Amino acid sequence: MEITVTISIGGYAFHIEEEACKNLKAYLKAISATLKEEEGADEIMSDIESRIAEILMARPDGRQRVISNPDVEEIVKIMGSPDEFIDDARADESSQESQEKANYDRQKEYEERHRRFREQWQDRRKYGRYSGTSRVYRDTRNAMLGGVAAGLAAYWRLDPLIVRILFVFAALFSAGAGIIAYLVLWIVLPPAKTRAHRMSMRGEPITVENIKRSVRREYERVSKGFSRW
Amino acid sequence: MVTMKAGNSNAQMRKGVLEYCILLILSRNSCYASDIIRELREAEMIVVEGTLYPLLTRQKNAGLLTYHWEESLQGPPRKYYQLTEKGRLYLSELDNSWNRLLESVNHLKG
Repeated sequence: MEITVTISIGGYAFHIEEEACKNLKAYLKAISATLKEEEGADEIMSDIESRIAEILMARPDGRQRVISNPDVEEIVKIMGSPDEFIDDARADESSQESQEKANYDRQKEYEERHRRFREQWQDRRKYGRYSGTSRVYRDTRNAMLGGVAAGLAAYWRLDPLIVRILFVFAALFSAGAGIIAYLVLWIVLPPAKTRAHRMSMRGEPITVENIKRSVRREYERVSKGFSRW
Repeated sequence: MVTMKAGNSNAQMRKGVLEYCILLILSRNSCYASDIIRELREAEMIVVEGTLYPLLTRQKNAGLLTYHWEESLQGPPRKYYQLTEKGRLYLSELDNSWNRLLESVNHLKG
């Protein structure tokens, strides 16, 4: 016993076994996929469906007889496998086209990578480094003395206290070299004067979003200062 | 890199002249797709019907063919294709190039 369903082929109703229906559907789908680049694909598909309906009606008992797998196999034998629906010359052409398209895409990707690299390189020349990476400044706003330790801490993303302790240790155990180093850095390092400097010190790329964040941070600092008063 | 296969070249050659053959068949009288298939098969040109439908539609869209519907006793109405004036001109061009090609090949064969 088999379950049958009713389908319409080329506008005619047919009874077909479930399994055969699945196969026939897959076959038509494969043909349609082969033809999808073809102009007038819909027309070709409806011609093919009509022809299939005709083949099925030409069987003994025609439409009365339920379509089973052997009928579907017969259809495939007459009409051919899906890849035979487009002649080889065209198929070769299209595979060559897709090859060319792949080459084209690769070329585009390569150019895009190059363009990004060039832009980064130009940024680097303009800002001294890749934009978004930090420079060392003296963080005069958070300074204990000259802001050297605070600036280095911002650069290394450490707590300023750790840097200060290291400086104190260096001063104690290196016979004054630590103090000289601090003084030299105080002289050499520029103070972070502008907002851009302070952002660069923290390694923040200068974007609108980061500028807003920086402003908010300062507002909070100021208002905290007020409340302390 | 070029790969040469006799079977492949043969198939390519046949497919190249398939369009010509369809026009030749239709130049005699208007035909239904299955008639064209039968004639092609008798001439050992084609084996499956599927190849024919995209070709006919392509030639029709190029203005070489037109069709009219005819009722059928055993199924859906059939499309009968026939050559247009443009199709006849195109066919005579193909005739010429075919003859020239034959001459060239025969000449080379000696």
